[in-house]
Amino acid sequence: MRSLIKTVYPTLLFAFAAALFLTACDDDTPVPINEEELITTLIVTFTENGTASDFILRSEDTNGDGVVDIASTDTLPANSSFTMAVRLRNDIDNEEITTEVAAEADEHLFCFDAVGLNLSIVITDMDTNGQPIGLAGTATTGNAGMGSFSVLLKHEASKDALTPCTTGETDVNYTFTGLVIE
Amino acid sequence: MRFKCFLTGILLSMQIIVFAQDDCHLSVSGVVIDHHDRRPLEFTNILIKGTQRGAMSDSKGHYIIEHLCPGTYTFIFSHLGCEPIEVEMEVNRDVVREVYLEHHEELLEQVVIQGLHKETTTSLSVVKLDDQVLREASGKLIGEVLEGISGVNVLKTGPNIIKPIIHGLHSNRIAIINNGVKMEGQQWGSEHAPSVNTFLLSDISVVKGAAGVRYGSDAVGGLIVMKPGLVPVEDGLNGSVGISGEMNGRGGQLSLGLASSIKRLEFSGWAIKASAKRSGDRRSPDYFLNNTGVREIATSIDWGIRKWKWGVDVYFSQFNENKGILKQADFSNVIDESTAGPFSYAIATPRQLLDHYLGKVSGYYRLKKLGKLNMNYSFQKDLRQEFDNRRSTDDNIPILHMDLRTHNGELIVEQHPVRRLRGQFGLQGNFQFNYNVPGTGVNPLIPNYKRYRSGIFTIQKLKYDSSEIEFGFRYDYQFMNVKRIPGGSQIVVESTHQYHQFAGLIGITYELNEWARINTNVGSGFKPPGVNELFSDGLHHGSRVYEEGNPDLGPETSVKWVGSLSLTPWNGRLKLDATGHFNFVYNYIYLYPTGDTVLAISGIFPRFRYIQENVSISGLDIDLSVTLFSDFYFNGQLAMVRGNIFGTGEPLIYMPSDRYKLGWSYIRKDWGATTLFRAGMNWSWVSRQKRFVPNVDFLDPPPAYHTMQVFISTEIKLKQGRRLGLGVSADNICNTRYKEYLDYFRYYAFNTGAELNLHLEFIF
Repeated sequence: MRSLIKTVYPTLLFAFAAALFLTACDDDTPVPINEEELITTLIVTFTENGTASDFILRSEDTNGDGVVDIASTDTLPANSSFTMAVRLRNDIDNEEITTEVAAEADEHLFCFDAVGLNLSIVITDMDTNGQPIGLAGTATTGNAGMGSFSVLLKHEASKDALTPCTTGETDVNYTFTGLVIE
Repeated sequence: MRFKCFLTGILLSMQIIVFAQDDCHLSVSGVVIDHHDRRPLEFTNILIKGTQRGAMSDSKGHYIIEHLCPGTYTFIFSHLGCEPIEVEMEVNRDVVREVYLEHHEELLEQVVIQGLHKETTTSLSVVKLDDQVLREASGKLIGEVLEGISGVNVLKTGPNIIKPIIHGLHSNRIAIINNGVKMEGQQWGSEHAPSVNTFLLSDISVVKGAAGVRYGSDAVGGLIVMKPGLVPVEDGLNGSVGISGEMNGRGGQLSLGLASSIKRLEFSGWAIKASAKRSGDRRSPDYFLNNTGVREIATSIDWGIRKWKWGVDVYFSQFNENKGILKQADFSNVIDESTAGPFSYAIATPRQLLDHYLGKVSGYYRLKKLGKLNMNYSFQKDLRQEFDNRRSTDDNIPILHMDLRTHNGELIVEQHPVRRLRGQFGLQGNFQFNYNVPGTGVNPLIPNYKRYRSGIFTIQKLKYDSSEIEFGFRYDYQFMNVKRIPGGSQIVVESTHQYHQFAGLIGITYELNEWARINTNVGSGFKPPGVNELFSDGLHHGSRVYEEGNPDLGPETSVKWVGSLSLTPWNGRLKLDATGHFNFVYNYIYLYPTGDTVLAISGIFPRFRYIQENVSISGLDIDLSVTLFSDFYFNGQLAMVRGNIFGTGEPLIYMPSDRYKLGWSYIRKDWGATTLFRAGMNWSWVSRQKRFVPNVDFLDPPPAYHTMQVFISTEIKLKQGRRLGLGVSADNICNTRYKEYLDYFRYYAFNTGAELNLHLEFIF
């Protein structure tokens, strides 16, 4: 028994010191991350039927910290019709996210809402199940006014639910305020 | 006979058992002998467990307890300078029995024994849940088991993530001690719950008060002390096999425990415990909470030698858990009957995967002059991964992957008592390393760091006839090296931080008479800012907030007063425990909703910032138990907490609302074939939190609600000391639809509806 006691305590001390020594020397320098889930830029382009003029709504997070730094909107002509295209990009890593969304079209759904504004949107593209996606559509403006226009991108929404826009995970939820129709 | 560390006075009113004073004429008598020198031990206290009845051995060590009814009793033998022991005896006729006590220094722990036993008392307020309570709650999470204690609330993130709150404080301000090891598992996170299964434990105690002197800065709010039970030193294989089921979640748990002494090695034993749990989506009254399933496996193995002069113990435990997080938890979503899906056991994204390993080697040795020397070393590895729906890669690549390793070493001396003075002093060293495992493709929530802590402390007690004075002091040194990459840049920034921390306590326990006792304790604490408070930065998709860390935060200093009054008049027919507390924290650090928002492409996030303010948190817990007539009890409970910014009086966010509980219980021992029968009903009322600053929270506090609970359990005695325990309990029996202010899921969904739980265990 004596010998057992004599070996237990030095062993304890040694184990502690060893573990401490081994771990303390581990390198813990972090590696810069290429943020994979980042969407830095949202661009909605309205192309006027007939004139082929582009009117662009754009919001951008320029430094990749997640917060929008620049947002701009073009004034839309009243009582006109357009085709609409939505683009998503990660400008830090130079990625066109639009292609990824199109590739997984079944899992993505855009929802648009204009508040206080005579702007109506119809989604024209479809996924393999015949459900809407929202990367492409048509838009119609009514009389002049000013309001807000929001773009919602849902991932894995229940497209056949009663209110599909209130299901799934939100990847984009941006509202362009002060959008003018003249 | 089983040696148990006797520390208890059980406060939960349902656990109090009083013997009926019928016409009974049996007696138990014998001699109490010192195990060490074989001499009779005079003036040994003998107490019948669960009652106020007892006797004392005379100057020749002879004792007698009379007027006993036939039945099985547990007698607690204690003597100053001896570790108390419990002896179970079946009394069907007069019993004569010699009892051996080991004469040595008493264990000193920072706990109080309320009501029953006068020996080891300290001045903090403590509640203990014993193995009977834990067995009845098998399959439940630790937080759920603790919630019934007055003064303890829980912070929830849905039905599967439950963290304890003691007197309004939680996370980094409460230390969870598992088998003497402070658990390290990123507990700063509100969605990081303690990683242990109740089956691996034999009892849990809640210490409501500043315990920083003994355990350091993480215990300024209190302690949850969990014990796995001592390895047995008696012959024979014993253990238990259990199964429990829950209807809400359609879940179940299997548990197996084995323990035995080792024949060829005197005073040694081993114990193995394992539990496996599986449950699916929980259900609120109207719809399933999709993706709230859990898979969990927990095991532990223990081996030890426990002699009087020395002992060694080696313990290892493992915990693995995969748990789902409510699908669709998003402010732009509506979760109701139309959008929720059917039941499933599947655990999909978003989910948490946790692996926690704990290893401990401890030993003790009694020195003739100095006292009992305790040494222990422990290692913990907490591997935490979080998964979410990923747009760009496979959902099986985590968005969060943290590896936290902690080493702890301690040397504690329990001094030989010298006249009235007893105490302990100790030295502790701790090293922690947090590493974000690369490959997630997402910026880490908290940076990599290495943290060194060393501390020295002492706690001393002066014992007088009807009172005891306790005082203690601690000094800690902490050094931290942090390496991080700030959001939006690619450069590594390194910083170091040092803190010198002091904590002290002073307390008095005073016995006014046989049935009234007062404890009062004032403790100071020191808490350095946590890494998450300094550097957590940016959008948290998980909690839907933008959090700003604050690198200029300084440490917190706090002073807490806890005072309790315990009354047990009329031979225990009435038991009242009232605990008042007042905590003043200078530079209290918390996440403050600024009211601003941050505009991101993924949404508008409220901006929360870590700030420091002077705050006060105070409150009152009251527990009452009344014996209405034989075996039938009425119980009541009240708990209130008030938190304010000091000076302005502005209420502190996320403080528990007032709660009340009323109930009755019927508890009977040795009724027919059962050794124990318990049944009861409780009605809980939780009031609405009216103290809040408007427009800073996503949603105002939810309305008040009340729920009812019913339980029946029994333990049937089988041959050769074996027992069969079984029970049924139902919670929220009226299927009330409610939301709880301290549950983050209230922003998205209702709380769980009615629950029915069953448990069955065979103990041998």
